Amino acid sequence: MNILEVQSLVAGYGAQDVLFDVSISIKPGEIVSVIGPNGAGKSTLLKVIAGIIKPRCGEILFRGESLLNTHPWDITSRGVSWVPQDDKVFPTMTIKENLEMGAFLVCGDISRQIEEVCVIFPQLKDRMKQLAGSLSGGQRQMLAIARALMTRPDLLLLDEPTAGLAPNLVYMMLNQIREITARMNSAVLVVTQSLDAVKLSDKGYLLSAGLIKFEEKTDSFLANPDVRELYFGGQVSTET
Amino acid sequence: MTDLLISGIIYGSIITIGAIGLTLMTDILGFFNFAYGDFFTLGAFGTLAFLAIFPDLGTFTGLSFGWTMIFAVILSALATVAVMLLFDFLFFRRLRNMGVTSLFMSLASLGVSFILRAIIYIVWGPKVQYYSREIQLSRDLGLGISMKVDELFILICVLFLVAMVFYFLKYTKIGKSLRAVSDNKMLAQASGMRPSRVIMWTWIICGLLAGVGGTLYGIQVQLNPSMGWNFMITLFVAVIMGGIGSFWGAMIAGMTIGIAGEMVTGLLQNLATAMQLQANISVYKPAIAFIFVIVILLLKPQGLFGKPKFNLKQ
Amino acid sequence: MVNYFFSYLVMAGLYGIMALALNMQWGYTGLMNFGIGAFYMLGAYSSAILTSSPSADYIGGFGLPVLIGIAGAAVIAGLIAYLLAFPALKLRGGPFAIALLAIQETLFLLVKNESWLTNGVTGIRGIPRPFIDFFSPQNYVYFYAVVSIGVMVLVYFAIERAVNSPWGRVLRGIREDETLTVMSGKDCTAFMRQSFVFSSIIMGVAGALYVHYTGFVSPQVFSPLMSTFLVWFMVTVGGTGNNRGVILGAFLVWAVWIGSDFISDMVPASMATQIGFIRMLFVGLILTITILTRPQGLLTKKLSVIKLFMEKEEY
Repeated sequence: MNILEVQSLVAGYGAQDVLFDVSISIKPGEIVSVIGPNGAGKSTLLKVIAGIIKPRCGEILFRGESLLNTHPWDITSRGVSWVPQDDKVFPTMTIKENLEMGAFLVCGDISRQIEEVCVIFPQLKDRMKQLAGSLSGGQRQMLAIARALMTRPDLLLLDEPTAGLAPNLVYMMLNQIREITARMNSAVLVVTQSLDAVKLSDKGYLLSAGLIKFEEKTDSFLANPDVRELYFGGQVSTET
Repeated sequence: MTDLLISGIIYGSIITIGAIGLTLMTDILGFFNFAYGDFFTLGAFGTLAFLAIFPDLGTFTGLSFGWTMIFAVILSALATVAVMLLFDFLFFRRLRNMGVTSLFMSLASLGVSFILRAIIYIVWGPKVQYYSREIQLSRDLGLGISMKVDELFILICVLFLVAMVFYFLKYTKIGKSLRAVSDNKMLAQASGMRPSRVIMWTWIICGLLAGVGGTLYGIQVQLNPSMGWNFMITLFVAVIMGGIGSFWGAMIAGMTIGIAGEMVTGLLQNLATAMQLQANISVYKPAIAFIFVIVILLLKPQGLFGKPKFNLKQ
Repeated sequence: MVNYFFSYLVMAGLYGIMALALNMQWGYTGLMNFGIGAFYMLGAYSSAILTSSPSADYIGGFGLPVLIGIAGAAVIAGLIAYLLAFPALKLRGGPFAIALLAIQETLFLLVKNESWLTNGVTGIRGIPRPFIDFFSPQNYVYFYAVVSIGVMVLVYFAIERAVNSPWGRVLRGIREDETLTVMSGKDCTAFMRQSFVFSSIIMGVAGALYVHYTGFVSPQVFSPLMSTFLVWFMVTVGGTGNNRGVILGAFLVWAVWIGSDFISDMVPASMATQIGFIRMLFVGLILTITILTRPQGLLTKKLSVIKLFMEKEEY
């Protein structure tokens, strides 16, 4: 049983279609990555799943129920959390308040959830009173993911979690993402341009110009000529 | 000199009450609501109506009103909220669903403002009215400060309300969600906040502030159906000067405009009298605020404490 | 009755001129000017002071010919608009509206209180009415209706010509997307200033025409409601960005406004004061209902004005 099923999705902005016929599926607890060049429609795909953009046609099934015509806040309450690529925190609020806003739909005491995310992201623990707007890029990314985890989602949507991070931070971030699935048993859908992010996932999709070009388990995905063409410029693969 | 300062503080504190509500509303609803001043008027006249309904329970010592007034203010504030929500239901909600631009929302709010003012005129008539006809004398409070007890009450009331709004925004879940929406609308929705709920709470807070603020303004001056409309420009000036969406900005700008308006006109008037010039400068009190806002905007386009997203210069 | 109709035509024509000028700013340039009454008032008072007979109460009464008065009105309104444009055009949208509203209120206060210049609330009398000698006072309204409508038609053609020129295309570009227009190398503020000054001159002329019709001017007629917001209602109801539409709007809204005079004749005197407020309610309702049902107004020009009404699709 797949936790998320996206079937032949078409979506776009205004008169312009960005996604044509995209289908992906995710099993519970799985990390799935979608890679593709700039403008391939990766962020759009996540926004459609999160309910920010209405698709033109296609179907999105979450635990077997359709997410079409559902408002973003209802999608969140069903257990899908989205971390946007830009503007991912509330800048004039403290880290603690950001986490509280993440748990907006949770009634009652949330100190347990805060402790839980602090185990995954210990960097946040000592800075609870700091304004989110004053954090560095890496800390901001951690806070954004921590905020999304406050509702203990079944599916976490991450938009370029490693973009703009220093190489050592990229590895730390990827380890933390793996830890999320281990601890909370959430499925994670990562859209990214980084092949490192693909290495940690169970399955990879290649999205190019709004179409899914290729779908495979990670090992064979990385060996695929299309992927190599995209990321190593083709010459490398022909010479070797 | 101290007299001018005190009356400036009173005037400024009433501006503050209005400006805090207006800044919140402009920020979260995303348009300039030209009907806000008339909700202020509605609050003042609502209190007048409830005062007439209730039996007179006597007055507090030193004040020109008593328990009846307190009950009337509370009911009037609630009534203002109800009317605001009704107008939101009838007009603004539909316009939001249509996806009309913020400029057209402002224009629609202008229409709402005329509807509301016309209703107030029709119900209460164009005459100037008072809550109490008693003339109060100022009392000496020591240290060279003398003020009416009513004015002291207004100050305490404003301090209390400002503290309440601050507590609400800083420590309650709903208050924090309002700040979250002002920070990042899309992320707020993705965190589970319903825009309709947030907007409803914004109207509630602004309605309560308008109801009480209008009454305080009525106590300090007098009631007439155009009072709120005329006051609105000053409120907007405070909002723009403080920076849209900034609680502290609205407060500081409100107090500055109040005190500077009284001081500048008062001192110029004294000067004119001393020079034996026939001039009535106090009528230009609102103009002082306008000069302020132009200067501020030329120096700092997003206002004193505004977020960069509200750079008015673009 | 016929007389009444023609006096309606005079005022509707004057409001039509105002509406055309506002449409130039709002419909074509996207400037939310809530202070248009200020320029109407400036024109009215300039012409009144220049042409009225000398008086001891206030400066002026220069007794100059009417045409010089009208020219003076145009110059003063244009000059003040030009000077105000520098600080005001640093703002856009709502703040611009507030600033202009504040400027109007300030000028209104000045006119009301500085009686050495304007004779205060008493107003200025004895403003010459052109060619009055050729008509009996009762028939003068027929002549003036022709003048007012004639000037309106002239203004209509002038503005149509202007907005369909390359210059007007830049204005529409500013309204649709200012950043893009700046990027394509146009000095947006300069174009906005030109549009602002040009339409302010037209408003000033409208004000001058008004005082030469009544022969009397006092601050009351320039209250924000009568001089600014009524015109806004006309433009919105008629069709923002459509010159024929705003003229239709001017005639319609003014008919509603004037028509309530008939009602007040029919009801008992005790209710007569309420009628003024009922028509305020009326125009408020007309405005909101127009925006709710036909945001583009009665007459629409498709595609040319979309951006002003509807938000871009959310990203």
